[in-house]
Amino acid sequence: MGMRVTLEQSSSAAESCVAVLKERFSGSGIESTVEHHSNAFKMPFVRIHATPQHWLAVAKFMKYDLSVNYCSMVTGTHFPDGPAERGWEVAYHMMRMPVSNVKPHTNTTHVAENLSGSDIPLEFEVLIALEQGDEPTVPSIQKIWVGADWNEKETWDLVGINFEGHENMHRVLNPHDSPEQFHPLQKQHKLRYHGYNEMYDDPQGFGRKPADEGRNK
Amino acid sequence: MAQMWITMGPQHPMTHGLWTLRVKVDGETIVDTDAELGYIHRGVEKICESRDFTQITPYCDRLCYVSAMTWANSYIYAAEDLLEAEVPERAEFIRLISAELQRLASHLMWLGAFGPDIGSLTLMTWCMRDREMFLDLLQELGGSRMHYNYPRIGGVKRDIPIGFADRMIAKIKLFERRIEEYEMLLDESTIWLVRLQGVGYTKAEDMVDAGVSGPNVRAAGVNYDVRWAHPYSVYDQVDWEPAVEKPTSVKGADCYDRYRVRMEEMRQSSKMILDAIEKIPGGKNTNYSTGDEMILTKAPTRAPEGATGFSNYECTRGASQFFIKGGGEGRGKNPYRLSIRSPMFITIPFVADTMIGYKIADIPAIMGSFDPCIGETDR
Amino acid sequence: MPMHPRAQPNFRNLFWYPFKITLITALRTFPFIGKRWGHKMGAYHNTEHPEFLDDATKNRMASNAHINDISKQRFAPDRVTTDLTPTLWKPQTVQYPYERLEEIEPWLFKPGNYNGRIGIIWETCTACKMCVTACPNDCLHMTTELRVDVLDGADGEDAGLGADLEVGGYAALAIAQIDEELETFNLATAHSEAPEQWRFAEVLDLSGDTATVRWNDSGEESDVNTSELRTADEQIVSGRIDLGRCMFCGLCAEACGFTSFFMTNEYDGMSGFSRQDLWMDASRTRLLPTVHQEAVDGELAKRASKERNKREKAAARAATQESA
Repeated sequence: MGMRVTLEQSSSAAESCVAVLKERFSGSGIESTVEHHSNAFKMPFVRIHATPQHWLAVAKFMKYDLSVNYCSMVTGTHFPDGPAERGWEVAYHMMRMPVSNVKPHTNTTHVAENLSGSDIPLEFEVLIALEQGDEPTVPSIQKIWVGADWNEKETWDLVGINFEGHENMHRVLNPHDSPEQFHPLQKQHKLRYHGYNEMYDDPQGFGRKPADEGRNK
Repeated sequence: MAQMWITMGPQHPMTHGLWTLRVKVDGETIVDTDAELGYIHRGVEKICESRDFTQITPYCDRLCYVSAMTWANSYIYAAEDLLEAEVPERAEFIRLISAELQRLASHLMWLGAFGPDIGSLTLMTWCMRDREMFLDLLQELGGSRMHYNYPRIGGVKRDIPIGFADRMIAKIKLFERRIEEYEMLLDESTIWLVRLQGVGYTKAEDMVDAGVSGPNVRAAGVNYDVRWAHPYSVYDQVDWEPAVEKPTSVKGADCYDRYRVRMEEMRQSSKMILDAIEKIPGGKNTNYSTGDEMILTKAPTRAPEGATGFSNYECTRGASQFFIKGGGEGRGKNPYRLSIRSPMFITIPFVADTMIGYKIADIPAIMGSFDPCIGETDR
Repeated sequence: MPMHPRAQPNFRNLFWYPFKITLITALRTFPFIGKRWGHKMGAYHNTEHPEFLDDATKNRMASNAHINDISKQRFAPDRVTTDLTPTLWKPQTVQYPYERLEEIEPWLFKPGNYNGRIGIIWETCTACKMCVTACPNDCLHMTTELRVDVLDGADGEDAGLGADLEVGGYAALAIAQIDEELETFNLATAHSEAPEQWRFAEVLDLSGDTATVRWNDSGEESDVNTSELRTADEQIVSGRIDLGRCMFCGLCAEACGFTSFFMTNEYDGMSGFSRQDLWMDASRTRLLPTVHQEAVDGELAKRASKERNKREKAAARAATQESA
């Protein structure tokens, strides 16, 4: 309880996951490796480079065979100047947690040294590179993990990556009446008022300074 | 009877933040809910793409303003992962102490808002009074009461002042007695028990599938804590245990369990702080000057393209994660993409689902017991 | 309050019970009665536990029953001591603006540690603009103004290391008796700007130890002794801080390499009626050098030694060139 999960446990869990993944998915463009953070976090994690065609299969494998029960973060990135096969990237961060329903009036206090197998907590990072274009599409994992639901909504809302098969996609952080295809975190949208030498509540520019001559907002 | 949608609009004293909860009610029973977020969306992720790594720290303070130090620490760990910076051990201890002090202040703020929702106005005054103790400590350490801009990449901004350790130990020892006073007030109060027990059942596996973490999951009976499972900083050198609660029903944890787990967490945080201040390398009353290598190491300021940094940190409300990709503007001085995972963003739709089947009067109890903070939800 | 439909007024309900309860409550405040007979008199109410307690809570509460369970109290008075002596009980509220927290708890407002209002010693600022680049919010803007650099205004051992007077440039004359005025002047609470230390003029002609200058304030020309004049420079900047945008993070103060930028420990003096009022210009952000004399002296010493080294190197280079 006070003792933490050790590096050996974590490393062995990560290695076995990678071995199983390699065995199942070798040769379909999916690579899995054990990576280490620099410095602060001592535990290794599993990084998987997947392809959009095989993503659903990998996701189901992770959930049911590797017991990855926690979908934590979905991140989309726009690379307008990137290579042709990596114009967009979706990064999923998942975790495996030894959590299960307990009987009433009891609790499960895991003792770190007694954890084994798929009970050892582990982090997973899945990176999917999508081609350059205007319609990046990735299959949705909404049916596999409930936690992916609002994460995918946010990624579509801010970055513009379409999740195929996602029911009830709607704007979650931007206003509901934002224009179609307006996804602010794409690189062609710049910050307003950034670097201007003027009052920020002056939308018509009456208080403009000479230094800002010729600039449009 | 006809069913109707009622809007608990963005301005509402009991929603603990700026979000809309639309409930569909049949009489008094809730049959459906719909949560709308985004009222306080400030575009932090986009702003941070044009800021230096040092300039991003004050923005992260303002993500969850009630729990600023933990969010700044969470970002700093991700930035150190990206920039491959070393941190001296004394700085890690100071970060642990500051984060746990912030956790205490945040839980007191939660209780001070949750108590009046249930009906106990006394708690508001008591919790604010006790929170003042920790805000004063954080003011001494960080320079202001809520937004400190305290951790730096490679260490912390300043060392702990002279006399800070003694004041902190006295206040924590007083606070441990105060926790007992809170429990004396609440744990046998009929109103408290009737309103919290049997309300808002959530099962552990459902929560994990939905992405909920932190004290909400520990209330359901499993001691999963990021500080224990994916340890960082010096949490393995300090004497503590994750606070876990035994749920009273096969249906899972109710609001009373979530309240209890946070009281236990306050005890554990107090214990951690008292232990850490004794074990801190370099002594608790030596005030190293700013920039000394005991508290700060020089860190690189640029991150090449292709480098990534990830941090999984136990914030007050769950597991907060930062994912930073390097190689942005300024030849790598800015991040290319900074992605923030807020535990509350995932918990709010789960909370909205939990309410179905209960009464309108249970809404503040269920909502408050999950400790929402919309600043981090909307970023 | 609703009454039972068949209730009749009677002596027992309307007088005897209220009298008995009041008498018992009053008597139980005396310790020798309350401790011995309080429980028997039926003086404590609502002492049954509710049925909602589970075993875990009961176990946990058992250890505190001597405090929590009122029926187990041996003596529970109605009043606490502070009710008897209210004059000794003071509110914990600091009565701002008559009392100030930094006078009561000064360790909370240490000038180096507290993120208060910005203060700049413009005399030592070199316009490196590190603070401008460090600010996340575009709060700081720099402009130029006529100033006397600290090296030019130095006396004593660091004298003579500044720039020389030149025709067409500017010069400044120190206003007499200004030091005594500045000693008693508190910029934070004054309703006017700080008194000017220098009187600026344009240098028209230099001949020997007399300079012909045209004063900026009056436009008149006069001759002044060169030893009394200091070189003033247009390039040295002053600036403006938009406190409406400032988030008091302190990155600017950390970025300044010339010990000129500070966060003071003042938290008031920043209010206004419009956003323009929050644009603090140089006079509202300045820290008088007398207040931070140590910082100014340190900076002056640094720059004087640097200038000395530079001149020594130049002299050495000239000597080697001459001999070569």
